[in-house]
Amino acid sequence: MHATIRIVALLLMLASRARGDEQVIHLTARKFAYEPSEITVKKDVPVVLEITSLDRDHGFRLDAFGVRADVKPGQVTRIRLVPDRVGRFEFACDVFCGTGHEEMSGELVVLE
Amino acid sequence: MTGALHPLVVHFAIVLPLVGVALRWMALVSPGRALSRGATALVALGAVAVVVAVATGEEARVVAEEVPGTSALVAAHAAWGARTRGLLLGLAALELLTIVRPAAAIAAAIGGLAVVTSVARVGWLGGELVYAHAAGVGARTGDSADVARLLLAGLDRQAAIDRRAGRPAAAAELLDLAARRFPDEPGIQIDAAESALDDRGDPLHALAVARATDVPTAERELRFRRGWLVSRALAASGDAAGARAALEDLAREFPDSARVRRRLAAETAARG
Repeated sequence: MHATIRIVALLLMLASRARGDEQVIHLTARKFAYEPSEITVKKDVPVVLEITSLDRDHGFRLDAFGVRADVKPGQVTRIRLVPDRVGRFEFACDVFCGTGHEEMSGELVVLE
Repeated sequence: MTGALHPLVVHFAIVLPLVGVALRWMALVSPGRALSRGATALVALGAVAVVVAVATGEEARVVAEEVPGTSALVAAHAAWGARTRGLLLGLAALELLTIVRPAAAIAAAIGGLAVVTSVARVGWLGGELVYAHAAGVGARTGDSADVARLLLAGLDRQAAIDRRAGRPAAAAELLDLAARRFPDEPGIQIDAAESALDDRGDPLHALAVARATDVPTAERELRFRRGWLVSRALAASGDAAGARAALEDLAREFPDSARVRRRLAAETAARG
């Protein structure tokens, strides 16, 4: 019994270490905004964006890092990236979602 | 009877029988003369609507069958239409019988379930024809402008699908074709210009098309897209000052745009 608990604890610790340097950020998308609209991350630290749509199909496009994905209601879209340069980079919806779509955007802020 | 009426009539042929059968069941649960008479009237009117729908459907059939890949679906839709007509005429007779023999209401309620199933089936098949195959869409009136709009919509939608599926060259090809076919349609010109920049990496062509496209003042979304595209294309071609000037123009036209303000602030910060 104790051995099983120790093994499980060890596995959990290893799993936690494996993701230790990875920052997970949750975003929601809805007409016509992302929440949060500004994401701040550290350079060279891997980031996982978990995006969910609250209403309809949207897109997520972050040209600076060659990222694009569909964001659908009821699903979590996971995007992993390593921001390798400092700056402010726009992300935007690239799936037409109605009048107001052009304003649906946000910023990834990468700090040293 | 003209086939052009079919899309209008079918909605009556669906709603009237469904509501009529629902009223019949309500009248069984909570007996009342008004509910019963209402059920009879709606089912009888529904029967008339289905007769007209089948007749107009026969007229509309050729236009739908012309669309490649639809003949089996059209045949199934027509067969279920004829079946529904027979069932509904029978149900209407039963409903009329309830006026003199109230006990017929039970048979009408049970028969109504068969009608509901049949109406749902024929309606679903009709929906498949229109929304999954565009059967009749654009071709119903015989006006070639309708067909042109159908083509434009198809090219634009397929290009969007290709791009999202990681096929930018295919998207660009379709949008180029659309832009050539519809030189006076500003929306597709801007689509093609965006495609030149994003799918083919050709900022100079994107810029030329965007600048040559006259977007009416009322088309605010499109005007925003054009201004944003001009700024991006200038930046991509190495003209940072021009890109900023285009953004400032956009900020004047769209002073409430957080996106433009953010981009201007980012550019200012990047310049130090």
